[in-house]
Amino acid sequence: VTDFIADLETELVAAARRRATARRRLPRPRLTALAAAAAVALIALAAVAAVRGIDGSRTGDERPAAPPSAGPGVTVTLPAALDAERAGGCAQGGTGYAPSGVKLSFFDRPQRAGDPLPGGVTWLPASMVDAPTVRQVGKGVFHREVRLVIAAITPRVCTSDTQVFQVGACVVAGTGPRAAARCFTGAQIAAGAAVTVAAGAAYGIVPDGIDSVELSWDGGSAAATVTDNAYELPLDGVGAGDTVRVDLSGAVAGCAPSAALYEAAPALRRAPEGTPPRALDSAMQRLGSRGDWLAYARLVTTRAGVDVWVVPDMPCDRPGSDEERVCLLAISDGNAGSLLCDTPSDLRRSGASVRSGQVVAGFAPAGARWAEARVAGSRDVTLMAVQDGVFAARVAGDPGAAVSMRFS
Amino acid sequence: MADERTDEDLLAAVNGEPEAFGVFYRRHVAAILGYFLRRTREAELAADLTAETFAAALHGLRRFDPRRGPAVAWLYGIARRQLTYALRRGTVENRARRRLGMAPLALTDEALERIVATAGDVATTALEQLPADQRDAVRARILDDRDYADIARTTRTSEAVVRKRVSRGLAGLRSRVEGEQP
Repeated sequence: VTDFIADLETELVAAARRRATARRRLPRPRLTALAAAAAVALIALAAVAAVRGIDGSRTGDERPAAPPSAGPGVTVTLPAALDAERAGGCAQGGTGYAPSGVKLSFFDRPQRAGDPLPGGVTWLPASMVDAPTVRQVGKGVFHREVRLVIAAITPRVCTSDTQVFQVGACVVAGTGPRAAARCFTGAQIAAGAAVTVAAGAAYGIVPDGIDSVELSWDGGSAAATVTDNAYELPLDGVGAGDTVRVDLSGAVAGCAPSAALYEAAPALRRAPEGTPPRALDSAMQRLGSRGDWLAYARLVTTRAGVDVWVVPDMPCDRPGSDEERVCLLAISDGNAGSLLCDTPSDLRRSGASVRSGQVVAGFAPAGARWAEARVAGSRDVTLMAVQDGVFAARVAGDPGAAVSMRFS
Repeated sequence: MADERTDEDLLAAVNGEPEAFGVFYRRHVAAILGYFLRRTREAELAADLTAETFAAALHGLRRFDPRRGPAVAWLYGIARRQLTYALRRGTVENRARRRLGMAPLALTDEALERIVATAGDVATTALEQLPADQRDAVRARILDDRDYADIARTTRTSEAVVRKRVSRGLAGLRSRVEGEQP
């Protein structure tokens, strides 16, 4: 067709020949050699197991995985716990739920006589409650009786739509007529945003691995030790409706983003909000993720009205992957774009963008405050403010044309 | 006489018959060039991206799994990644070509003009000649990388229908592009 096309074919076929020849030259190990190699491998495995111990914890000379972070802290408006004795609640029974992307082991021990919800508690603000997981926590440590229970949380309490929900947990503080409760998604628990106020104290739920929690507000701060995934913190000078910052201490157990990922993608530091859309779930499933990302998905609604979901793509959540990345999915007028993923180092250096139809979205490089998109063949430039490291807007021009980006 | 084997059969044969990759390349090079031309509007960049896309396909051949989709969708996946990389970094990747030991190709102005004329015409014309439902389905699935469920929702059809349209569209594209090869 053209010289270039013919020349490229010649080069490719020559490369295919070299490749085929090289493959044929690869030595094929004989069975005896294989047996010897297997024996050596077994000895090596035994040696590694002896050094590691049977729990398989890592030794110091292996390549370290990115350490999970306890999270960057979160600012929340303290919600009041809800009356748990209200009659006619709508939460139904259900069992076998696994919290979305967060590890909670308070219910690992068998349920005892004092664990079930007290008789007066007839209502919990969740769609489904996994009653066999109710446990009294912090017994002998907390001043009031506190119970946790795994529950399915929907965007609206009492909705019958069980297709869109996150599994989290509820905290029930007190008994009888003064019992009060709040339910939180796995994302809220992972972020430290699972905290409520009842009878002058804060009650919260945190993931496994968190040892203590500090609440700070304008004019004061207080810290609490965690027992059985929960904490109780008497409040002085702050209450329901006030804004506090919650910082978690410890090494969160299970799968969580590293500190480097939080640094490269500031949007991950936002407070959890909303429920990740089905399109994001589908896209992450196609990547091969198991679902731990759910606890760390964050929503940024840009000034142009485009919803941008930012999620971590973590090796601990995706078997076969060996590098941590952060991904982004833009949704405009209910239509989802293409998933964009990149490594922290590349993002910090040069940013990344994706165009889906009339929407362009992406990550800005470190320090950038503005993103300019220019569609090939058009003179129009779309200027976007960078919000928490991401940008998105609708752009004019040919939907199939390339978009070049500039950051400032 | 045209090779009757499917794309998937050709890729499976490459290890024992390297020329099979040449057949696969000839089937799709014009469409891939056209794909890059429409998005970059630069013939030199499109040629460079095309070379790296086919080199990456050859180098990563063992990763192609026909159970996960047709070979052409896999090839466009590689093309999209190359384009994304190039737009993001401002340069075309050449890792696959280096690993395969391929010589860089010099492009004259005349060759570039012919690329624009040939690739643009063949790929665009072939796509435009498809029935509208197949053309839209191929665009949405292959070029825009939308999933079947999403396309079905926006076109108010079932996923099965969308899959059929994409499959027929790709078959139609292939026969049209092959028919225009000299």
